[in-house]
Amino acid sequence: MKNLFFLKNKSLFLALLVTSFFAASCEKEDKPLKLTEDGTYSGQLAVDQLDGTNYTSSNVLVKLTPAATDGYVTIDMLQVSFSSKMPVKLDMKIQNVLYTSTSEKITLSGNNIIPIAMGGEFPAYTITNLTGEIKNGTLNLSMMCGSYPLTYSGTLLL
Amino acid sequence: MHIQNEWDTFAAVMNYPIRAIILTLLTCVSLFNTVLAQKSPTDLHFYTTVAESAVELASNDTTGRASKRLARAEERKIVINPAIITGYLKGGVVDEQVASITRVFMQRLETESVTALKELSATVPNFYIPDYGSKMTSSVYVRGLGARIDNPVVGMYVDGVSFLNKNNFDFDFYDIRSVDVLRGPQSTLFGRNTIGGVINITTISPLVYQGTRASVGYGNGNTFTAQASHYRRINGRAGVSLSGYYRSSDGFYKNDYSGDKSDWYKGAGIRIRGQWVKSDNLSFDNSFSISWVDQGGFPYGKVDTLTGEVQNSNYNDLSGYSRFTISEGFSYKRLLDKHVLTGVTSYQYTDDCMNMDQDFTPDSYFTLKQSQNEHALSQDFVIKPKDGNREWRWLSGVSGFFKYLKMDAPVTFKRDGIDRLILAGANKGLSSVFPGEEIKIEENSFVIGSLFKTAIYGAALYHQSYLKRGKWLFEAGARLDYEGSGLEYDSNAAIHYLFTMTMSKYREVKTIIKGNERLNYLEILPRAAASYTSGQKRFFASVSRGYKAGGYNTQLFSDILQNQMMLDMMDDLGVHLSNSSYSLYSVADVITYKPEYCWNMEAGASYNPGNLNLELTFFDILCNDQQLTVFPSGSSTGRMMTNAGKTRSYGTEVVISYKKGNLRLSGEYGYTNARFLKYDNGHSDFSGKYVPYVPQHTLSAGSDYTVIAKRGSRFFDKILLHIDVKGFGKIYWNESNSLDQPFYSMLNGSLSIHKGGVSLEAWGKNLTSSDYNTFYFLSMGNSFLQKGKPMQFGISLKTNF
Repeated sequence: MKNLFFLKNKSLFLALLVTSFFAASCEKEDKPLKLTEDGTYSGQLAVDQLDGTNYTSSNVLVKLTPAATDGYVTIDMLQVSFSSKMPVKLDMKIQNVLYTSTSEKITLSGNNIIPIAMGGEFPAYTITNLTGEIKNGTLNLSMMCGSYPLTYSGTLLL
Repeated sequence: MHIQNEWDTFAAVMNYPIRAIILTLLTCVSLFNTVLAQKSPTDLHFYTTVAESAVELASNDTTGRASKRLARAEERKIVINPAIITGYLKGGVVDEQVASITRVFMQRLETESVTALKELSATVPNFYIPDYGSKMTSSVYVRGLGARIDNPVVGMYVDGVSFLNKNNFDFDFYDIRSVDVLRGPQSTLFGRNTIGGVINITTISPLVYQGTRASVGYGNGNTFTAQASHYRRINGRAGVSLSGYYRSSDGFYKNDYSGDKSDWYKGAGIRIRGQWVKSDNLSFDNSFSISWVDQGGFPYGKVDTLTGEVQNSNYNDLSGYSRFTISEGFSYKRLLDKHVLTGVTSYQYTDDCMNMDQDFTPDSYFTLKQSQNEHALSQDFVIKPKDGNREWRWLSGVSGFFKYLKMDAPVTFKRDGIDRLILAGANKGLSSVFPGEEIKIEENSFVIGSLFKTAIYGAALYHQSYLKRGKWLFEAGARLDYEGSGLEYDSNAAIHYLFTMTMSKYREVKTIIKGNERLNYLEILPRAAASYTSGQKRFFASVSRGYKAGGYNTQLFSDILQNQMMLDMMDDLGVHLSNSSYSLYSVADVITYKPEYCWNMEAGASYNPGNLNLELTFFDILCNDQQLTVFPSGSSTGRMMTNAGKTRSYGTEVVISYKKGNLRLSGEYGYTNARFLKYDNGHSDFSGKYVPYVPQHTLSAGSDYTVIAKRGSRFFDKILLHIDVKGFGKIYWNESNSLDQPFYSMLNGSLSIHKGGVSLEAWGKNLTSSDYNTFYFLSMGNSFLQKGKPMQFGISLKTNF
């Protein structure tokens, strides 16, 4: 399923998009949205360096994948760098993120989640206070990654 | 030290039989003498005497004139039938053609103790085959053209049979009648990979010489040689010969790691030749040979970066080379009503194996074992008019070849290589972010497997015309040459790795690179020449196009896979290097290289008054896409062929020989100025720099003096004293011309006493122990050089009866 959205043509993607986010509203406007397919977003990541500055990076890809358990998603942050001093970029997986939805948006939340990176669990960067929102094809995330506050804002890739 | 490969068993079995080969041969010789003898000893003596005098005529001859006298002498001796095959397949016409030819005959080969082709370096001006590595290494440089690996710049024929595999070029000489080296492109007649010239080697013909030859020799380095052969005419129209040799040496270069010599050597071979003049119009010539080589090698010493001194070789892993070759050539000549049709069908089988400690250090980085198995078939037909006295003569031919090579070249990474070449780069980045954490690889060694299957095939049509007008001879020809090839590659590796910070168990990562490539070329290779002969003077000029086939950089695959594996592992970890120290090769970009083309223009003159022979040649070669070996950047250890843009090579060749009484003098000098006109490898611009590995000067100066005993001397019939000096240089070692080998010279000599059919010879090479280097390369940032061989000397006992 990796990079699914890159692999499908535009029309198929639009069909998925409708299915994922708006199909319900087409049938009944007050029915909550449901995540049924992967979605990849591209946007800006900002990490508070705790020295009064923010480290930002653009075109950061974040993939949302519905978990096997209903109401949960997995967030994959792909090739992210959290500091200018970091010589490598990492893929970081945040599992078991709870989501709730209304007919207009999906809300994400999670706390004390140990991310998976570099082949295993990464407790030093435990995710706390994760909140997020998907609305009109835009994903906004906010969380603490270890002791570092982190925000992300991206748009769904077509 | 022995090579532990599939030849081990063979070698072990062969050790005893090899020593017994000489006995076997001598037994065969006895059988020949007793069972097949139909000629009286007088007959044999007669033939031998004439043959010897013919060889005498030819000694020190570098112009080809004496060879014609030799051929005439041979014809007188055996009342030669015109159907007999002699020399070149394209023979007769080539003798006339305008070309710079150096001919070295048997006597000179023996007087100068020439045991392999590379020892003719400098004897042939601007011809240089450095003696390094192993017998697999036959890097031939002619007039500024050459390459260390893959396709050679010269073609080689032995008794008309084309040697299609460069690995076989360096074979042990025994019973060689002559070596002709045609300098400059010979692509019109000889096709691919003759951009620098053609080497034509002929062995002694049983229809030319009859008798038994045997020799034993011993020299320093515990060098032992033995050789025996028998040549016999079965009847007036057929002859057979059986010859063989054995050589061994402990070597001259010490490996400090093991304390043993690293260049030990053993070699043996048998050749059976039969010639049959079936009728006045039809004849056959069959030559079958088997040879075997087992040796150490690669005595490369690290260069001390502070002092610049070359250390002894000092490596821990097994290194050496073994080769088994079968060669079968069948030639036939048919005289038609108005034409002569000649043909050669040949087959060669090569099975060789090279083991190499690729880091050449006492540490266990990585090793290569390259096993090759090749079948090569070639067919050539030539037709030309029977009447050789016509004003217009011509030659037309059709040829084809096919060869299939299967090469298995696994590279084994060992602990030091894993730690320093693979993990060091990865952990450097990680440790700065996660101090104290690292990636580990479970294996103490792992193999990067590489299997290549290459099929190369070609076909050609060619024609050359010769028009004689008074003192002028005009020559024009062209060749339409097609060559195709296909490569199938399968390279793979698997390791288990662990990142200490996050992983509790090792995880497997597999990398596979598979695919195939194809190359096709269609070339037109023209040639035009003219000469003017007036009495003893001859002036000539020619222009010709040369072509060297493209090919595949198979030797780079371990590097490609190593890089890919590192990236796959990091990808599996979810780690992406921002500024990757691992250059990710594009297989399609680096796997192939293009053909090399050149235009060769030359002009010269020769003057042959009496016993003096003078020859002067100027040449100018413009080369496009010259194939050169480069080392990829970074910490990679591979090497690859690349097309280096444009080069120009110009120079001159001077040949002098003089004979008066019992004194013979000879001199050959070559000057080459080969530079890049345009060469930017992406990292540096080398335009204007000298082409590396090419000697700017080659020099050979020699003298023979024969003391003939008074009639009835009890002690000797004659004493032959020979002395020569050979020099090479300057040779640049790299494209930037920052390192070089200055001009150096070596003194060689021999003294032989002849009595009856027996001679005793004392010989020496590099008698002054000149200190020089023959090869340079860079590996993992370290510079390595191979020193030239020190003084060698020995004695030989020879007999002809």
